[in-house]
Amino acid sequence: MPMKSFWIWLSCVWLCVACGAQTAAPLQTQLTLAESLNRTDMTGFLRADKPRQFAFPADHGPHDGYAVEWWYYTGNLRDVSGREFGYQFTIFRSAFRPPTPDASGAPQSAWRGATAYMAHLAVTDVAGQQFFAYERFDRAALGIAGAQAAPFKVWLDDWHVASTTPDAAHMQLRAAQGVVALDLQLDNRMPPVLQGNAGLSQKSAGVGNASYYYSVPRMATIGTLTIAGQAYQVTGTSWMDREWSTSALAADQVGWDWFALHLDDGSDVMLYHLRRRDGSIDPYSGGSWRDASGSVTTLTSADIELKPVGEWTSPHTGAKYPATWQLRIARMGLDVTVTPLLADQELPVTVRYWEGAVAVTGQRTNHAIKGNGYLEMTGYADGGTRP
Amino acid sequence: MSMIVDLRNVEKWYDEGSTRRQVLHGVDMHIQAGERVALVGKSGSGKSSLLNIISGIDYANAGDVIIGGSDINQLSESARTQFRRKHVGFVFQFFNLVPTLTVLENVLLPLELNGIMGTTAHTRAMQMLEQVGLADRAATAPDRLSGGEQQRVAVARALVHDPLLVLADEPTGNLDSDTGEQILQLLTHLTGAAGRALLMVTHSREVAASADRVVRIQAGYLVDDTTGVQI
Amino acid sequence: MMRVLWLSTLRWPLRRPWQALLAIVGVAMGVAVVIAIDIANESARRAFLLSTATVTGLATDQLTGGPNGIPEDVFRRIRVDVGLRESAPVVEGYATSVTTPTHTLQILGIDPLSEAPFRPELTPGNGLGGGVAQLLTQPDAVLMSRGTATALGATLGQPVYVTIAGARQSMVLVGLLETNDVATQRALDDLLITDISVAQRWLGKVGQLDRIDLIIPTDASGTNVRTQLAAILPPGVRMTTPSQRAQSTTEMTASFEINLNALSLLALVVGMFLIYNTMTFAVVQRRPLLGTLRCLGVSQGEIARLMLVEGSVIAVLGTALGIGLGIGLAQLLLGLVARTINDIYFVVTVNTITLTFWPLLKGVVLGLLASLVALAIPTWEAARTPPRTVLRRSSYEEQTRRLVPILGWLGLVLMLFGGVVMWQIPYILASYVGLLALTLGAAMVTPIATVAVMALIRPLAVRLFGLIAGMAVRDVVTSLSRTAVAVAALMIAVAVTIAVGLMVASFRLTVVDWLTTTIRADVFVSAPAITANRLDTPLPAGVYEKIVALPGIDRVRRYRSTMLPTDTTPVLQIALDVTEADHAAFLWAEGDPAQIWPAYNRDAIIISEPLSLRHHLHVGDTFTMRTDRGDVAMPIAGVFYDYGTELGVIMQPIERYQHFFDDPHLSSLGVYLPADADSEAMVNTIRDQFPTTALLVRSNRTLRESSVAILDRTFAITNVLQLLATIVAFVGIFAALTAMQLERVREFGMLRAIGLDPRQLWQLVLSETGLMGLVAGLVALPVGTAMAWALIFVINRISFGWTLQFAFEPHIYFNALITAIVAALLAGIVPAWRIARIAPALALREE
Repeated sequence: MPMKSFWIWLSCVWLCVACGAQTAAPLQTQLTLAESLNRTDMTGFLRADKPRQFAFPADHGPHDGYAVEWWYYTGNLRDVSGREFGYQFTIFRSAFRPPTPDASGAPQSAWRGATAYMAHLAVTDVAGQQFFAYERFDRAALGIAGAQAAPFKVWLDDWHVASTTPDAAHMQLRAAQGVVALDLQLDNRMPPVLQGNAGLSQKSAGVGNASYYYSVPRMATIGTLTIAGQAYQVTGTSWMDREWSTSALAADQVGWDWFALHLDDGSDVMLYHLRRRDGSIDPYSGGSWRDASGSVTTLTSADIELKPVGEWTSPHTGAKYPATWQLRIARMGLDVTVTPLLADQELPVTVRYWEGAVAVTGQRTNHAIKGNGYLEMTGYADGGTRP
Repeated sequence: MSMIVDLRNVEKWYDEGSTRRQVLHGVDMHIQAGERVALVGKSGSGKSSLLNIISGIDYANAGDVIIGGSDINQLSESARTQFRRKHVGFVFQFFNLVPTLTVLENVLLPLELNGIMGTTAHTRAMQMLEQVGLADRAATAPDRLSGGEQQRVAVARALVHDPLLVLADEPTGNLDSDTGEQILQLLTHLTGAAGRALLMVTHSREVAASADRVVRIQAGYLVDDTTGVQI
Repeated sequence: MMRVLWLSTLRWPLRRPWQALLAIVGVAMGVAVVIAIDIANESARRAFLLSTATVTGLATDQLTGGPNGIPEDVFRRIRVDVGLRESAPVVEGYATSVTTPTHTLQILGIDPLSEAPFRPELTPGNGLGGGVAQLLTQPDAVLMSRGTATALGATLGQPVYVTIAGARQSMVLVGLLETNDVATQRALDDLLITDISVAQRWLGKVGQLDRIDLIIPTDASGTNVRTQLAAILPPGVRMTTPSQRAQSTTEMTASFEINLNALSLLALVVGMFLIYNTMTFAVVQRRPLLGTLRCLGVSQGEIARLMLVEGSVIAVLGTALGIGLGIGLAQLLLGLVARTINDIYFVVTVNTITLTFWPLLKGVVLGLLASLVALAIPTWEAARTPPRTVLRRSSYEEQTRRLVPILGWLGLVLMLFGGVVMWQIPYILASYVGLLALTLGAAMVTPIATVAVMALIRPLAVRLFGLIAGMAVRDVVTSLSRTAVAVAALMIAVAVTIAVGLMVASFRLTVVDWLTTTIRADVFVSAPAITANRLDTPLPAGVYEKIVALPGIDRVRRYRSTMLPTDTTPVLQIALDVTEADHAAFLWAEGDPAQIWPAYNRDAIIISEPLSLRHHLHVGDTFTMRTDRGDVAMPIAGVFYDYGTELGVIMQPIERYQHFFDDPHLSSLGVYLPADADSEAMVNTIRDQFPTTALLVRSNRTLRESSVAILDRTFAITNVLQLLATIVAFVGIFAALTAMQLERVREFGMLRAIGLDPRQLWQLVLSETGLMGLVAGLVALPVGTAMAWALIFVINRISFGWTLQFAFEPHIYFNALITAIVAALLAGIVPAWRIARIAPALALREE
């Protein structure tokens, strides 16, 4: 559940504003982004407060009534020689104000929209021991960033994911910056997995503290991945996560660990793990299991046993991440180790977090099982979460 | 006795446009060491010109100007300056003390110009001031002194570096007769004693009388070279 | 080390401290005036470049558009189609503070989310800290520097008000721009950062961008980006580099700076004379001492060294003081320079001077070099003169007098040379050389003129005022060695006064005539603008339609003026309605009206005289105009006289303008009324029509008056310079005369002794100085006229391209003459007072 850095991003902005206020004491009064965003007051935004009817491809498009929303793509790829890669491509939408119709009739600037987009692009080159990550912000104005349902497209500048078929079963993902470039075709042949309670994913206590959340776990992927002018013809599997909400996390939820795993028996597993300030695991943690046949099982926190068995200290931030995990899901007979393919997959963006390609090895009901996927760990770096 | 001043057939003229004004005509003049000579003559007779030539301030157009054995007329301007700084002492009618220097410093100046500095210079300058009776005014500015005192300082300045020749241009001309008398005594006493030559340009009977010998100049000619002649 | 010898000279200034002080002040004044102009100009230029650099940030290239900017969709295409992420849209404009005095504030509308690579200091906190986020979320939010916030009285979170295009606008301070770099901090002053949407709304630029900043890599990918950009850019959008753009803007003031430089050159000449005078005097005065020292056996070289060291001390102290004074003066001049630039050229906000290396170096070199050169001549002369003559001053005077005629001839030749150079070589550098030659030549002629004037005056003076007057006249001549330089300096200062006075008068006369001819409409309507005499702020929509429909109006002429970029400096484009009735408002420098107008109505443009001169364009040539439809070559039908801007003006029919440019706006309207209508009443009628719109409605008379007022304002700095030159000369003559007279205390004592009473001494001294003033004034009359000729017909024409009428104004001459005499008399008062007070006995004793 990539609640993700978006909240962290906002928190950081809030912090920056607060810092600014301290250094400029004589003139500044406390004026925080939270106040200016008026986020404590969610009036005017829709809430994820009840199960809804999902419709595709319409729900691939934006849901402007909600404050935040994202399109999250991660994937594990390899080229013909077996060289392994991972990628992450995410576009976030955030509204500062609920959409209000303008009645004044005066000429209005096209830039005055209350919506901003943020995107992250990261590429992991396992053999090359390289990790690249980039971040962009744009406002939803003039069409420089945006999302639409028909035909499906979400973009920020020239970074985009767009469907090439009316049912959005086929998507093209293109993004390039610095030395890396992605040009991938994503194909999905199965219905999306509705997470939580038929797509309503409760994140903390209280009605509306939830998101609408669905995943497209297994998208056959083919395309070109370029690093420093070297183009690799790659194939693999991508995972798409879609989530929108207005408020979800509780104040004592300090971070999370999120897993999106493809197992070689055809199962796709999503887990998230909300950590509380006191170190305990929030009961609202959970996940889902879809087997090869397409049947989906919802997992609760009681079903999942996650144990850090290694630690990696970031040389960039000094943050300590639980780098390797022991994962048991007794209900599914699963007992595996989740190991990063590359230790340093920490994103050097506005708010630091770790998100990277992982390998899965272990057993399922006494058979050896392998897999790969993506792991996200947030709330470990300083200032990573709201105090 | 050695010859300090030895002028031979000295000619001096000024070209003024197309005309030539002859100031000195074939002047011969000889002054021995220890000799005190008065040069007398009317205004415009060539007294000052002759004095300037002897001091090396000006040059002769013809003839030899042998001072202390060297013909200074053959020297360059800067060599003449060096010669003057070493061998000539000047006493002017209007004292011409350096107003920005104290009495002592005025006396130190010729020593300094001759490369004598430090304690040696100071001792000698003070001795000299004592000899002219002004040791107690050493630190005074010249404009605080009376005319006679200023001229005594000038005498001290003219003699302190032990020159061969002391030139005095109307040394008493600006002083009352008593004071003038004192200055004359100082001059003659201090020059004669050390075997220096003294040449005084003057109108004054008293001055002439104090000299060993009087030389008269008239319209550029040295008409007389006798001892004790009346003016 | 000859201690005593050195003491003999170095104690000199201590004995005459006032004289040393005057010498130092003399050097200082000369240095101060010159560097002050330089520093003020340089500061204004730097401030502009710095603020440009700050608002340009790290952009390598910029896209700029026509009069209506760039359609904002170009930005989307750059981002989405070309994929150039390093691109940032900018909307710019100006506001005026409601403080007293008002500040001009630059509004910079940005997209905070695009800023990070460009202007890190404007968007602290990695793009969204320090209030930047609020720009996106809060209406009318601004960021500004702490200094600006204090000046505007802005408190965080509270609304403040400014005036934009004449209308009140509220804004909310949401954060402060902080930087540790002092220079950047200064550039941030008077800058309002706001969101681009807010700027578009405030400035009436919805849908358009003023520019798009780009960072294009220098490698192959950059070449690729450029190719792609070229493919998507509409015709009116051009790609330039920030430095090109800043340069072409600063080049607009080149003429203004040239003109100021010409004036500072004159101040420099006066300053050099002052230094020369001071130094000459220091030597002349000491000739007896130098003579004594020479008799004692001090060599020529030692004398020269003594004088040079002493001179150096004065030079160093004077230069140091001059630089200090100059910096202070620069601060005063800066306001005037900045105001002129704002009135005429572009908006620059500069409140404090910036010290840079070159003006200071120039000051140091000038002060030291001029002092030493000035010192060298008399020192060399004193050192090489045989001691026998050194002892007598009269010999020196004799020598000086022998030099006087030679100097006079030389001066005459120099003046002729200067005149020929200016007449024949139409380059600004040649004009400077010519002007300098003219000035120096005139100075060299001054002594002989003094002798001549005194010879003429003497019999008259004796007959009218008796022997004392005669003595005064003779003294002026006999003391030439000391007075000549001071008189020449005063003469030059007075000549500068005359020249500048005549230039300003000629300018005014020409412009007022021109305004009368060209300003014909009875009422003018325009939108308020920051730059006083530029009218490119568009009128609000509907104003024209409403005014045309008013009863009691004959017709309304439309004007649209915009700045048109060219390869060099921009030119002013005026699109307008011209009917047959308006033809008389044009005065033609080139072209036959009978042919001009048909061609103009067909496809030709008409251009102003400065444009013709600057760009070498004449009737029959074509001018290539960058339009929104691409480059269009337009034939030139005529060249008209214009004194509005030296940048040059192009006029074309408004219909053609609207065809070539996507710009439906109007800048101003000329309203013509029936013959007997009351234009002031119409002004009020029109104002009443637009109670809530900021409009400038002015009658013919008011417009003409305000135009002349702006003109006068631009000459404020000229007048200050003129005054400074006079002050410099006054200090010079004061120093010279005081020193000279006090040196003659003995002579005056003698005069007192033979029976002159103090009153007669007063008369004598003041007559002498007054006579010197008179000579300086008299000589200055023709010299000033010649300099005026050079300024009006040579330097102005080269730098501005204007044909001016020569305004002969007798009162300027009269005032100059009086100034010269009064300055000289004033300079004589102190010595006269001191001399008259001295008891005769004391005076006689003093030696």
